[in-house]
Amino acid sequence: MRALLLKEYLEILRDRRTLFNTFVLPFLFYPAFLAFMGWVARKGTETYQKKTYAVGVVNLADSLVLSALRQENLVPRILDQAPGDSLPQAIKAFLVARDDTVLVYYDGADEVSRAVWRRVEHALERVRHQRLVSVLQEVGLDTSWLVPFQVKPVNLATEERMASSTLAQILGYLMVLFLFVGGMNAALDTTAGEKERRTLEVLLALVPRRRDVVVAKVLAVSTVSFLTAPVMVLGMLLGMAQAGEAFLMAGKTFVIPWGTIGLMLLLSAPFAVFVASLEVAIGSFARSFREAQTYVAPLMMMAVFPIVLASLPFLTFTGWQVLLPVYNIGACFNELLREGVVWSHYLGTFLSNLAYAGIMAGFTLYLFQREDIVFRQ
Amino acid sequence: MPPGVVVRNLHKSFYDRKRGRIHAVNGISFEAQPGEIFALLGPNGAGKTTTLRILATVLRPDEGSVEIQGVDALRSPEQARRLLGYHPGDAGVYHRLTPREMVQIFGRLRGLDAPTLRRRTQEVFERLGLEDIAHRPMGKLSTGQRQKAAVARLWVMDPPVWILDEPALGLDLPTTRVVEDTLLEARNRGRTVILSTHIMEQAEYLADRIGVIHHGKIVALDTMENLRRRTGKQRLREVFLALLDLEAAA
Repeated sequence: MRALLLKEYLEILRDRRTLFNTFVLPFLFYPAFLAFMGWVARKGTETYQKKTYAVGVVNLADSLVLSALRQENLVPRILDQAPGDSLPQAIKAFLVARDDTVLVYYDGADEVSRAVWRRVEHALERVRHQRLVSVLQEVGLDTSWLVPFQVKPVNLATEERMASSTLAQILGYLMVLFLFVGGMNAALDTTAGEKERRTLEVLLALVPRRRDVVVAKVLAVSTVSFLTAPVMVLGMLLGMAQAGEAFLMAGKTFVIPWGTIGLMLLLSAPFAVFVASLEVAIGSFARSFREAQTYVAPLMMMAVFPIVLASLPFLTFTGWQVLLPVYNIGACFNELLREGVVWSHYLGTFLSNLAYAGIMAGFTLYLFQREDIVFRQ
Repeated sequence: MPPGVVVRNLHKSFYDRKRGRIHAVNGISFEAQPGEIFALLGPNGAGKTTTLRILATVLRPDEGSVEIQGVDALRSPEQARRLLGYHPGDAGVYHRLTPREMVQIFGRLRGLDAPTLRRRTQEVFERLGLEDIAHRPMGKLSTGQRQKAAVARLWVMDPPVWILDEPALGLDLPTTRVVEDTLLEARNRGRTVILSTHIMEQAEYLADRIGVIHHGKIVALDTMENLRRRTGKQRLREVFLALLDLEAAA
């Protein structure tokens, strides 16, 4: 078994695809990509906020309105008639006064037009307020009646808790996703790849028990998945932290207690074996590495659905849900990060994942014993 | 001493969705003795690889029996595996391992102790001229170098029965010579060597006996001399074609 494991680990550690996925993607690509995305989002927002846009005005040559629009960096263009079904070129919104109503035409499918509509709304709100103030002043009434009381929100959550809440939404999701992704390449390479290179048959003709071959492969892939997932998550979080306000975490510090990290890693172990067994089973079935990749793609799609469900803040993690594979670990991570450990949920999730890992490993071994699967023509 | 390999009435079929049931091996029987090179000679798709995979315990036959040095390979495949070494087509080497690492790992899997393994690796690498490339990943080696590394793997394990599928496929003449010399040496050490090939000259040069295989059946099995006598032809290429014609006429 030691020689088999040595062979598997050497092969995995020297696979450039695995090294790329484990180190280059999380520590170079993710931070760079997320920083770029953050920069693009920031730039876009700044541009919308600062840039001057033209708005059409019909029947509304009111100096107060025109001045309010100019204060919002909008250039009013007095026109004779309202637009048809679409906005004219270079005009992002249209104001048409009709009796006691101001119709504001904008293009809801155009982001800039939507932003201009918000500015117009601010401008008109200000005009309305000014009009009210002047009417009240004319009749000698106190204008403070317009705002009988102020509303001032006081957030009791510390910045740290705010960041942790945001983190809880994504960290569980990322961890489960990367447990799937982390060992995938190794799993397909050690099964479908070995078939393609015809090394698998040499191994099967040499190692007395097929069970040992399967156990070594599942163990090796589980280890890769278990070790790479936290590294990939860390890389992603570093990227998000750098990316700016786009990810709501910029400049905020968040602390995950070591105990929580330990509990998360412990919970990941049986899940890593479950995922590794599943991926090795798929790889055993496929005739080539490429074919295996086509089987894994829908698996990922199916896996993402329960992970996303588990990360939704309004879903409550209840007792029987510990039996739902994939969902249970995502929900348990979420709970650990938001509320701390609920032992019945934690142990239930751990034991059910342990059982699923055993069942899936048994199924993989069964597939490996079937030559019509392993040597499918 | 029991025969190296005894094969009796071997059958193996596969199901193909388009072509239905395909009988890859259809009643093959032969024996190979220790100190003998037995060649299965046949065109592509004749059933050579399937037969060798069954002998190597990688596949199970639908019918028939296989004995490896007296061990029933179907009832006790684990025991049979300890007596054989298998070399598939395309060499079956690990591209990210070096030849030395591969040989060491397979030696350990075979159960060789560390000093024996070191000594044999040293000897075999010297004999095959692999020392210069011993620490280079096999993905960076030429086809011939990889094939030599695969032969070294078999030689270091040195099982009583060697099973080789097209061991000289795509090799240049000097490398083919090295592989052939290794097999002749194994025979001289009393090993049973079973190989498949579609290279007539190789079968003629190496084999003590030749089994001509076609459509999953052995259509002729004899020494080269007797095959010549039976067909009245001199060169194996002509002998082979004459045997296929006889089979078609029958």
